[in-house]
Parts: sequence; structure tokens; C-alpha cells
Amino acid sequence: MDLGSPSMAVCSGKSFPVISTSPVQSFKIQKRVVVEQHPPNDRRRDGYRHKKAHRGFLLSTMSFIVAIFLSLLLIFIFVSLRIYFILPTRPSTAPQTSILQSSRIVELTTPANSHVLMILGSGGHTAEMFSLLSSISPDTITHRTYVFSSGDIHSARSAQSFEASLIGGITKKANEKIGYRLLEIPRARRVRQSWLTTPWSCLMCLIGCMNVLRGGDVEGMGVQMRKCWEGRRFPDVVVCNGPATAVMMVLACYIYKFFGRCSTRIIYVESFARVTTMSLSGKLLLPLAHRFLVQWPQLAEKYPGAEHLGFLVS
Amino acid sequence: MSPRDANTGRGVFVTVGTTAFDGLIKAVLVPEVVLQLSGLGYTHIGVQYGRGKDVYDASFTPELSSTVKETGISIGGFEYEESSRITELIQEADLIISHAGSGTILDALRYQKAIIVVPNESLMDNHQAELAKEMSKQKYVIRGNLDQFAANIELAQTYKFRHFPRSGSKKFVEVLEDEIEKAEKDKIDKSYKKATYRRRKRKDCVEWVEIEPGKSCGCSIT
Repeated sequence: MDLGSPSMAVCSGKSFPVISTSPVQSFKIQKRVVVEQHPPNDRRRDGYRHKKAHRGFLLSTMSFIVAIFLSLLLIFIFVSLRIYFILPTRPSTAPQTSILQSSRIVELTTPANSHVLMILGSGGHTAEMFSLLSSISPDTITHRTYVFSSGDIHSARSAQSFEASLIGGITKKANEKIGYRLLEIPRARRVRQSWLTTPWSCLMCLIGCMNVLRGGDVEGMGVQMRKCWEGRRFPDVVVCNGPATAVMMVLACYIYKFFGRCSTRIIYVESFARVTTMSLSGKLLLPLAHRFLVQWPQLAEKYPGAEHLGFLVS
Repeated sequence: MSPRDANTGRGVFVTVGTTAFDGLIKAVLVPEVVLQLSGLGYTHIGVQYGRGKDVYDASFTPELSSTVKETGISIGGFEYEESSRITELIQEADLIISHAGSGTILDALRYQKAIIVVPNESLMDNHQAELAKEMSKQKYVIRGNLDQFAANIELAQTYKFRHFPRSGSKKFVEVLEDEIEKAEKDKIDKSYKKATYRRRKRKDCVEWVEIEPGKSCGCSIT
């Protein structure tokens, strides 16, 4: 109570002078009006000047808007042209593909070493991925990167056991020299995650993917490993088969392609379990993948651009 | 209660995957089916029940227990195992009764086992049912029906299962190597373009000539 009463007094003390200043203000305004009224010609000229200034302002804003619009249009045209050029051109009919392929195989030789990136999803996707990869030879695909979503220990473990079986035939020295990368990236969307927080987690995943593509982890490697990976940071081929992480990885690829940083090609393999309906990732990646493989003829008929080569799992 | 007590005799492996599929467990663990399986020479049944532990436990009614005692068949159950262990169990068994998970189907086909696939109709995303339908149409599996389960088991004894092609992975590797070659070509094209661009930038050069063939290049200045 003792503290309350003085503050109230201050308040009333403050508010009182405010009321008292109002006649002073009105007097000031009156004085200014009188000053303005004194030269009548000046006032007209003032108005004219004001109008001119207004027109100039209008013109400058108009030209500014037009300039912005034009530059936006130019940027848009440039971006869309760039995207058009980096998008894969896949022949729509099957016979054409085979002709193209055969003619290309003749003029090309298998490169001495290559880098393939594999995206491991959850249980079923991972199992299918290793079934697909079961007959790759470590002699041609010398650099292998496996990417798994955070917390998916099962996938990481199966990648390790797959590598152990793959390397089994090679001498220990070759293994040390080349080896493989097993990298973890943030999950794009957890099961039952709220759709509100999904954009954020997707962005984190995208940044993770870009870091993996760029070879951000190469700096932290040992001398020998680093020497081996230095020239081959960007993968030659990305293989994916379904999880949401794959969509993010392909998007990251296209961001680098947009700036001409990499010439990575993308192979998408639709799950064996998909007979007549495409998965969401498949629908999204159909125009982005260089090779889109489905394992059932029904899907190839339904979605033009999808290739059916029979069962790919075994 | 281990699913693999005996090393001899024929085994049945029932698997429902990571979700609950109570209908399948209920259909297998009834005295009639157990009696039929015993009659066909099966000596043990392994059940992977996933989230359906209570259903599995509830199946052991006094009638079933007495049937088990009479026939001497052993029944064991477990919740879930590592996928490598599941693959082992599939390899050991002679008849597989499964949900329509692609992993189990492929494992069973790899080891050329008789397999009855029962799609889980209660699942929302029903592409598994389509897979079961298509696989049974091509005679790789038997599509099971919970109402006529005895008939399905009978059919599995004599059914001529088609062999699943084993060349799929080789086809994929062909595609992969083809794409690696193309990527390499793109890379070479790109570096070639860069090199020609750099040449154009040098203004004093008109044309590039090879001074010593195969050794080094220079430019002729006019």
C-alpha cells in the first residue's frame, strides 16, 4: 500500500501537464496556418511542385516494378531452361532404348573406377537393395557410399555385413586402399510425425544429403582413404529404391546439377511389392530419374517412362 | 518352447511380420489344422507372432494341448528376430505360412520352399494383397484363404511351384554398369567443353595445332 500510493501520485502528476499542453499546441498550429496563408502564389507553386514530384515518384516506382518484373521473368526463364537441360531425356518407347543402349555400349569402355551411392531405407527397402546389389563386383564399382537414416542401426549393420561378404574375395591391402563410406543423415520424416514439423526435418535431411554428395566427410578421413576419395567426391550413379530420403537425395543431386557441379545419374528401382500402384517416392522421382525400373509389367504400362526388365531381385 | 527343438523331421514356419495378424495365428493353431499337419508328417511348428502374443497364448486351449500331446508335434513361438535369423528359419522349414511381406516371399522362393501366402486384409495400404494375387497367378506361391486353410495345406503338398528367376540381380548390375559408363562419358564431355572454353578465352590463339603429335599442344600466334 505504501509503495502503491506514491506511484499513483506520480501518474496523476504526469497526466495533468498533458492536458495543460493542448492549448499551446493549437496555438502553434494556428501560427503555422497564418504563415502559409501569407504568400498565396507560393502556395500554388508549391502544389504544382508537389504534383510534379508525385508524377516523378510514380514513374520511378513504375519503372522499378517493371525492372523487377523483367528481371524475375529473365531469372525464371533461365532457371526453367536450366532445369529443362538437366532433366533426363528418356526415350518413351522400349525399342528405342535398346538401340540407343547398344550403340552407346560399343563406343564406351568401362571406366577403371567408379563411385556409386546407395540409399538405404527402412527394413524392407534395405533388404531389397542388397538383393539388387548381390552380384556387383568391387573391381568395377570401386567406391561405394551407403547412406542410412539416423537411428536405423539395422540398415547400417546389414551394409557392413554386405561389405564384408563383398570384400571377402579381395586382399586386405586393396580393402584398405579403397573401402567404403557408411554415412548417417537426418531422417526426412519419422513415422507419425506431425505434418507441421515435416518441412523442417526435410530441410535438415536435404542439407545432410548435400553434405554427403559434396563429400563433406572426406576432410575427416585418414590420409590413405582421403587420397583415394579426393578425386571422386560426387558419385557417378545414385541407386535408390523407395524411402523418402531418396527423394531428398535426388533433390540435392539436382541442386548440384543446376550449378553444373556434378554429372551424377540416378537409377530408381520400384519395390518388388508394388504390382499395380506406384509408391509416392516413385511418382515423385519418375521425371527425375535417368533410369526408372519397375518389376511388374502392369506398372510399366500404366506409367510411361518406366522400364520393365523383369524381376530384378533374386 | 524353442521353435526348433528337433533337428530331424519336417517343419512348418508361420510368420506374420512386424505387425499383428491375429487371423493367421488363430487359423493355424486349431486342433484340426495341427492334426492335419501332424498327419502330413510335420513334426514341429514355429510361430513368429509379432504383436499378437496374447492371441498366441490364448490359442493353447485344453483341446489344442491334448492334440499336441497325442500327436507329439512341438509348437514354439517368438515375437520377432533379426532378419538374418528369420531367413535361417525359412531355410530350415519345409512349409512356410506367411503374410504377404515381400521379404519373406523372396526368402522362401530363394530356397525353393512351399509357401502359402495369406494377405493381411486389415492393413490400410493393400498393395501386399495385390502382390500375393499376382504371385499366385504366376504360380510362384499359393494364395491362402483363412476359411479353407486345410485345403490350402493339402494343396501345398503336391503343388508344382514355379522357380523364381535368379538372374534379376545380374540384369540390374548390367543397367548399373551401363549408367556408370554414361556418367563417365558425361564427365569427359564436360571437361572437354571446359577445355575448349578455356582455349577460346585466350585471345592470341587462333587455332590449336599439335606441335608434337601425342605429346603436347600449343597455339599458333598470328
